Amino acid sequence: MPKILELKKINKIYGENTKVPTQVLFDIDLSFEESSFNSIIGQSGSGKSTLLNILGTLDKPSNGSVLINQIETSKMKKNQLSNLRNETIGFIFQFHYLLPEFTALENVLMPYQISKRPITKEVLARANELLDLVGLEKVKNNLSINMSGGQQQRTAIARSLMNQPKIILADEPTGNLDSDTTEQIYELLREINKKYKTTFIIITHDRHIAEKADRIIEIKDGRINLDITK
Amino acid sequence: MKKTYYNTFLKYLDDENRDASIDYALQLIQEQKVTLEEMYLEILTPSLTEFFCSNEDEEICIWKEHERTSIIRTILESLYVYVIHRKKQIPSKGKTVMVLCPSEEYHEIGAIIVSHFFALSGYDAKYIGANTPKNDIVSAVKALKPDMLALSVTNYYNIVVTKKITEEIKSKYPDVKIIVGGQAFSHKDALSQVQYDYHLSDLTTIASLEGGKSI
Repeated sequence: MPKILELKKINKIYGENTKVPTQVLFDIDLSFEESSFNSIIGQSGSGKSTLLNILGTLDKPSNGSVLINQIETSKMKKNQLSNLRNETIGFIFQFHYLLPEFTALENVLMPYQISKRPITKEVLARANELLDLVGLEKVKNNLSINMSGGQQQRTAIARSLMNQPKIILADEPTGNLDSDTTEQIYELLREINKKYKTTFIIITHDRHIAEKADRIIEIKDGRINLDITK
Repeated sequence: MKKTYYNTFLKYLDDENRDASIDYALQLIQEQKVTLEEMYLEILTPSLTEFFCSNEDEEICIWKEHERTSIIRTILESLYVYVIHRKKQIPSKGKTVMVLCPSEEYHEIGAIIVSHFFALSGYDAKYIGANTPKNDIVSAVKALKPDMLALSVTNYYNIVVTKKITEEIKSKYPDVKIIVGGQAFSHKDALSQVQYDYHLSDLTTIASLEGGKSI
């Protein structure tokens, strides 16, 4: 299986030019296979969110390289990197970050609208299909503030899929939800993984999600402490 | 012949006939048609590992598997009187082994069978139980001072806590030999994550273990 994401000798030091530099990642070598479903676990402060931000090119490593689809990203210009990110990676966070004054459908369309391309019939049909997939067909025209926590997170999941990304990076996607809704969201992510062959990398504290992943990576004190594949 | 016994036993299990399953298994031992070892290896273990659920509904398969496990557990508990009887006939190895499953690991049948096998091989086998928290394992090792600690792990997520347990035991009690076993270790790289002296994949090798080392 080809590697879709690769980290090579990644180090991350915050406050490098200060008197108290803090190193949070140490020589991380890690790669992910296409269509795989991965979980990252670790205690608070272990460096896992920094790692995910670097994987998603939202943050830059102090040194080392990040390859997306075998493309080296460290020398890319800011707008090139933004384009690659917008086309290749979808993000899901613990908090949904939906725009409250827009409907679920409008929020889902947002990643496409950023690219300033016209919203065609096909694009609209895709947004509707994604909202159907996440089970929101009846509330897609509701303002996001009028939806439940589970519905808002489902909208965020549909939004992350709008640009047909090859990779979804999720940071505690169910951290804010009750256990029944967590189970439903997990089943949904698995369904997306199977249907679209999307690669998933999920940070989670929830053992019920982690144990169902194909691979578990544990980060401890900025290093890979454990890496097992089912 | 043993295959016939197994098939008969399986028929009772498939029918979820608890009384008949238990009665039949104990009768095979009482009438000396099979040895305890044969009962564990050729009848009880395959009846769990080869369990096939034809029902499409996964939830139905889960409770069916749980019911089957419960029947097997009752048989195992009932067989222990025969283990006591056999223990009296064999010399003691003078070694203690502590057998358990780590926290959140509820699949304990393998661990129970392993503890019986150790007992049948002359070890003083102490079965602690399923779902044993790390701190309780460490305090049990401190109190019981076993020669060996055997950890049975089924769910691959539990490798995470098993790694922590083995690291702590090795740093605090380096003389205690660690034996690991169970389905979790069939996953790629699982064994390399933990500190251990012996990986138990075949119960018949227990008799040739000495102080945790293969001889």
